[in-house]
Amino acid sequence: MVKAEKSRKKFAQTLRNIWNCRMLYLLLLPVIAYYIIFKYLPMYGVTIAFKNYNIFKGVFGSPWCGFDVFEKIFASENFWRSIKNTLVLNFATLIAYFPLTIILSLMLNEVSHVAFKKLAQSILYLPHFVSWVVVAGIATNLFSQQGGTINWILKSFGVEPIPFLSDNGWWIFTYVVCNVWKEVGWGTIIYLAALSGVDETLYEAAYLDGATKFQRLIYITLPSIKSVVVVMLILQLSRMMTIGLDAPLLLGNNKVMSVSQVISTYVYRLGIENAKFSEATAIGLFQSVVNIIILLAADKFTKMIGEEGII
Amino acid sequence: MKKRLFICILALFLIVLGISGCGDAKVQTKDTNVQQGSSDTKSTDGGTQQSTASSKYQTTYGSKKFNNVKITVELFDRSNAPEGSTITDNKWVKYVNEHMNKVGITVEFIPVPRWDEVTKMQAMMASGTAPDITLTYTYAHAESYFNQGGTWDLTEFVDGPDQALNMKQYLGKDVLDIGRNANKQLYGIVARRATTAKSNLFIRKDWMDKLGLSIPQTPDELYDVIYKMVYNNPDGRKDAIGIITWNAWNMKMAFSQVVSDKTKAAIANGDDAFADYYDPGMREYYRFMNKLYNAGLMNKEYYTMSEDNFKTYIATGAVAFFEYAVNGSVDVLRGSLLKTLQENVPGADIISIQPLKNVNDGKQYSAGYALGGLINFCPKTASAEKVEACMTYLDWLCTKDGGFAIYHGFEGEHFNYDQNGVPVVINAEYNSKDKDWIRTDLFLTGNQGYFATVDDFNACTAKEAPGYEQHVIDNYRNALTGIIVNDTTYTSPSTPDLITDITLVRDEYTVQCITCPEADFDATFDKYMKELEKVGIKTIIEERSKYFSELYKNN
Amino acid sequence: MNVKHIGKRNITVGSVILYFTLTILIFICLYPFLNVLAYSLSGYNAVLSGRVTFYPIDFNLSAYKQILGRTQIWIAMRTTVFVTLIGTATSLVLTIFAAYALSRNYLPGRSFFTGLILFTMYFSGGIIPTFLVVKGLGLFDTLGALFIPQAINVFNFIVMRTFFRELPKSLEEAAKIDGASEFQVLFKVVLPLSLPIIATISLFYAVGYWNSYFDALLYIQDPDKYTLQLRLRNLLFGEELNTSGRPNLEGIGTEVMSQSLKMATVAVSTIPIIVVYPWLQKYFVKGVMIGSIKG
Repeated sequence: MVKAEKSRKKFAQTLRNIWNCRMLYLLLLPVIAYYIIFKYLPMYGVTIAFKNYNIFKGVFGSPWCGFDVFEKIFASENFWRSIKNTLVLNFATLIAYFPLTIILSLMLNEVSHVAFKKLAQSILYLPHFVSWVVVAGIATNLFSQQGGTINWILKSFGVEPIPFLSDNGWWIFTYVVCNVWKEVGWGTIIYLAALSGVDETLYEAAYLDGATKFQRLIYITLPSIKSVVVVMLILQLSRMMTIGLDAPLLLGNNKVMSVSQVISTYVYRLGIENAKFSEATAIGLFQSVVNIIILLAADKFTKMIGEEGII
Repeated sequence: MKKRLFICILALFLIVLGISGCGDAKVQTKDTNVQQGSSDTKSTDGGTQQSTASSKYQTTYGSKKFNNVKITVELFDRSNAPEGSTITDNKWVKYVNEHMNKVGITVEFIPVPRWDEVTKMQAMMASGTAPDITLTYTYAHAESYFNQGGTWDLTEFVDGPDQALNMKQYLGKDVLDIGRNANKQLYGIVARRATTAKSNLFIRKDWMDKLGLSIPQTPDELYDVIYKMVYNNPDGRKDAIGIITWNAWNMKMAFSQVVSDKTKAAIANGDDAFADYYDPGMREYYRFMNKLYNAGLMNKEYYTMSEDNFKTYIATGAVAFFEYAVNGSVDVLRGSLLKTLQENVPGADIISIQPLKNVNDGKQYSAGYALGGLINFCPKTASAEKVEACMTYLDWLCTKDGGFAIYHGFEGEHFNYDQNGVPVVINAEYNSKDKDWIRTDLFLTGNQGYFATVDDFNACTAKEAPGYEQHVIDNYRNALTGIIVNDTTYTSPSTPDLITDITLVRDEYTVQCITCPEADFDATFDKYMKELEKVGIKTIIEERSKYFSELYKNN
Repeated sequence: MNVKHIGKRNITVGSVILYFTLTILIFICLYPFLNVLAYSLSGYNAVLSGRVTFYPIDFNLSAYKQILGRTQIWIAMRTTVFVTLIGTATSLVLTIFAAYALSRNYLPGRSFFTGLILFTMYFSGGIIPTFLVVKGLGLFDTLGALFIPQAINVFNFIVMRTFFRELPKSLEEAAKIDGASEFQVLFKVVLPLSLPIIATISLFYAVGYWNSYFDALLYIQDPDKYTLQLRLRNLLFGEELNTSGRPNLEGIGTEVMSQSLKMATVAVSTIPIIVVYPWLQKYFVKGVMIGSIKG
């Protein structure tokens, strides 16, 4: 008796809550409409991965084939190698890129000379806009073993020329360096936005209490951007299975294929060359599933250590 | 509240629309003026030849006046329309329509960005928005569309004795047959190449002369010549590169053991991996390259080279010998390499040489393109009447008023005839702004131009590189010296499924084979073969063997 | 007064290292750009012979004349600018709505809606089904197809929501006690405090729209509606993507772009959007009312 009444009361309370938030729902309305129309309506296309897709019969007219496509993909050694390489490259890039971005943001934040700061901010993010075609071309000239600038400098220090582009391990290094160089400036934008929102009075108070610059950094600055850092980390971890096409395609070469062949290049060859829609969709599905699993795991972990997650 | 209800209804409506719209990708374009009498739907399997006097579809230009039929034709857009014109509004589009209107056809061009043409084509075909004439350079796609039931069988529009006469005459049976599948159904109209010349072997003539060397005729002689050019460099260069094989088509011919047999050569064609596996001679080719690499005669990281790097090396005079696209040394469209080289290094000269003698039988073999270029086809979204009109359009393109005018222009304005009847360009710059920018893409039935014979092509092209006419003529002649081995256009049934993994293995191991230490060569090459087998190359080779033995068994 | 920097007026070892490192970084980041500009302004022989480093040799503007001299490029630029502006505005509005509503932790169903949105970051129907929806709505070959289907980017939404969550609740509560509705809280309290993040997300969207070409490739047929990137990409990317090693069936007869033309293309397609960020920097200042909050 009591239970039924309790749940009825709860239900009534929920309805009241909803009514109180009606304005918020109004705000959400166009957003949800957008998602339904443009994202959920086409969602049936995911079934292509389970069908023998005939583009003229369309998705609904094409016959089902169960997991055949997946079986074919999973049987391919190249597929698994692409996965491994994707993870390796993404992970290596993350380890370098993530902390460096934060450090650079903090450095820029410390600059007192306003003009210099603005200049630095404006220039450091330029590489983000330079197309990979150009970057790859420059990198080839810079890092080549015979006559590349870097090796030329090394030679004058008596160091043997390093095969930056032709040795598997060194290629990964070069790849990470190029990626970091290209994106680190751009990555600081978010953190700088967060840093500019830090309450000045906290610094005042800390200074008056005798805190050194370093202490102010550790105890005020860092905590204030903690939530942004956490969110960024989760988001980037949840993209571990995804990798852009341009960088590995253009920086890679046939000698280092065993480390440069990634999911995106594999799908590119499959899709563009051979119109293998089903395979490309299936691989995309695989990537998505893995990414979501990582996302959920990262989110859960974050909540466990007391931070607010994404969901 | 009302808003929400409206959205719900809208969403529901769209769901229904989406579901119904997806299963049927055909969008019937309604003709307001329908040709009287002719049926719009026609069965498309098997071409039934009309042996009686007049074929059902009249596709020779001039043999029928259409009733205001509008066709859409794909046109590659290279973003190079000159000032005052756009890709869809220019004097050539008007010219085309002027002539097609005479037979009651209007042509509307649908531009497609050239380098994304495959993606765009896929999207258009899947959504039923493809033009009535769609074209591509990738035959496999065209055939796949046909097999999926999405394009017309053109047999009944073209094969009749009074149909598409101009087309048949210009293209010839061999080229037309390229567009037929194993069941002899005509799934597309293939453009004819003006020449099948594919590749040239180029060498620094000035270095040869300075060192007193004669033109190498065998791979071993080539090795010696290159060695001397690099280590005894006449210009005193320390950074000379002995050899760059931007393509290796002719080089491989010199080692092939199957090239003398038509069937075997066809089996080995189609992808480098097929040849590597099927042709024992390829092992020796890679061994040769490995020897060159280990002797320091190749750029150490040659596999990172981009085409721009490659051209820079040549233009700065660093390269002794290279294989490149035919006429690549002086081709204006490839950057006039020789001209730039001579500005940088006065006295330098690059000439092409004849193919090297094959190490097995001593003969010279030249790689040649397949006889056909791009392929035109008609999606089922076009009505039969439109297809008839499309074939008529393609037929017109094979006439002098059509292809010749589009490619060469008008006498007196763009060219004049010389004493041999060869059209000679009057003002190259004017031509390039007036017609050259669009001519290749309008002229759908011919690759590289409207020419009756290969010699015409050579003579005409020579004039397009002023100052280097003799080089051009020599280049084309050398590219077709000896026995010409044309590419095939056949794709075996299992190829689309297996080719991705095969090409990955190919790319990875060919580099390993060339760059490994000489002692490891055989082991590495064996591994390459094993890896190819792992990804199913035997299946493809078997299919190809079956197909070509069938095809050539009466030859 | 910039309190953070009190005590730092004198030149310390730390600040020297700081400025020095940043200067090096500046040069490293600047070099490729100078390289691109130099190539685009150099003479043909110098470019082909690889002599150009970071200043032009045989200065000439022919590459730019070739690109900017074409009306179609200007038409494409106009289209891109229009789409970028309208698209950014639309995206910003929708993202702000979503981020604000879903940052209110008293909203029933909050996790459900957030999950709905997040899900789409990973699973999508694919190109063809989306194409069919766009076509079904009558957006095919219209400019609307270039920004409506892409209006909300999940990443941007999450970031903005995070920022909204971090704002001190006290101010919002105070406003509500004063009788403000949710709308008023959003417009009068939250947004003014969030200028840096709004500027940031605007930048992200603007750059996204500016650089996009794939939607134009799929949905646009009328060449006058091509975006700048679609036009230029075709000039730049051609050979790079021909990876399979299969002989290019096209063979001879088609022009290969020179390096300097390619570089000029890069310059033209990136310079307009690059200047947006410095202009936005003025918003990276403290939120207007933050100083007045006390506990």
